[in-house]
Amino acid sequence: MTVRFTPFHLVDGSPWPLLSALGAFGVVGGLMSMMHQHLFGTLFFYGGLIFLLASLWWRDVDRESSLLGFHTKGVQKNMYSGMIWFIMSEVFFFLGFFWTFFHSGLNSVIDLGMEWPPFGVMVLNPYGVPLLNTAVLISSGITVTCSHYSLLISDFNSCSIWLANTVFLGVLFTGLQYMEYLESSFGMNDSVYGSIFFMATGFHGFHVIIGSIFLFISFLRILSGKLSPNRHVGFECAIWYWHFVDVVWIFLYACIYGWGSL
Amino acid sequence: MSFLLRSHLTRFALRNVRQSSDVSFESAQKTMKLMRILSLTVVPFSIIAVGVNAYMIEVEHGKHAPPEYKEYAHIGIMTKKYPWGDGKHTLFHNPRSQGIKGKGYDEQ
Repeated sequence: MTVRFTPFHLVDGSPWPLLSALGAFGVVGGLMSMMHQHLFGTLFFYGGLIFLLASLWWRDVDRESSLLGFHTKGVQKNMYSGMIWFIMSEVFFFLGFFWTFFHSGLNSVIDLGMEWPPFGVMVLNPYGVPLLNTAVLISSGITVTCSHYSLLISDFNSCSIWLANTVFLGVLFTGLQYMEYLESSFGMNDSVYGSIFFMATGFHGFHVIIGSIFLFISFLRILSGKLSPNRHVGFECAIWYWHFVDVVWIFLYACIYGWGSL
Repeated sequence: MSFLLRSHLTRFALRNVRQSSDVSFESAQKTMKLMRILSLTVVPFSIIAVGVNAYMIEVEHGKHAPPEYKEYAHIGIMTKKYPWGDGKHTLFHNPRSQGIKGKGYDEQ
């Protein structure tokens, strides 16, 4: 048997990619059936399946990195680059929503009373819960930096404590935003303002949940001793994703809550 | 051809994507000290101050009744029923301040 030494990780065969693709197909099918008045069963089943498959796939990546030692410096740097490209794609995803907001807001049509916010829409007070959400997310950015630098100086206790604080702040944000959704006097079908408001803030909230889960997984990995000052690719990528979520919120707050309520 | 491109990209990634563990221990300690001070002072203070303000705004807002329900063409657009409940309520429907077309507020 010839052994070829490369800095790359040539992965073993795995069922997760194919199963995840089939699961994603099921999610789309479930969404379609939901939009044709059928029950949520298909969507929830395949959504749960995707969640399970992602956990199993990433469990394998965690084992390959920390237990099997396949992640060389070269593999790590490629993973960092991959995360940057993924975050760039998310930036463009949100750019579309901001484009829609300003397309409708800068030149409001006669149907909306030629004003923005549209006539009849009572916007949320930006100095209330939205400002609290801003403080919560910026604070979580500070605590996650605290956690990261604790790891760099090998203070594992502080690292896990500050990371737990960060996850708590993330969950606090989600809870506050959920309460705001229940309290708001406009819904998703209240003109294009309501539509774009809930699409943009809704997808942002979904990204906060994903980021909180990512940070929580890093928290578990620190507790189980899999991260070190020199080896914490997943943790650093989770921090980048969290900062991205924070920056998107700042823009959402300034454009939609701030300018959009004038 | 693609091998040449891949090897160039790999060399670029290996040289130019800096890892955070490249920082020195002393520099990390200094930054950690600053971050700890910010996390223990600015963070709780700002959250509490802004939180109290938000609470007072919400209490004040709760004292006012919603405006009289009026139907507009661009409000409460319903070209298709929702797949839950009676199909007329949004997912986070507020019965006190979101009206239903042809009916008004659920809670008076």
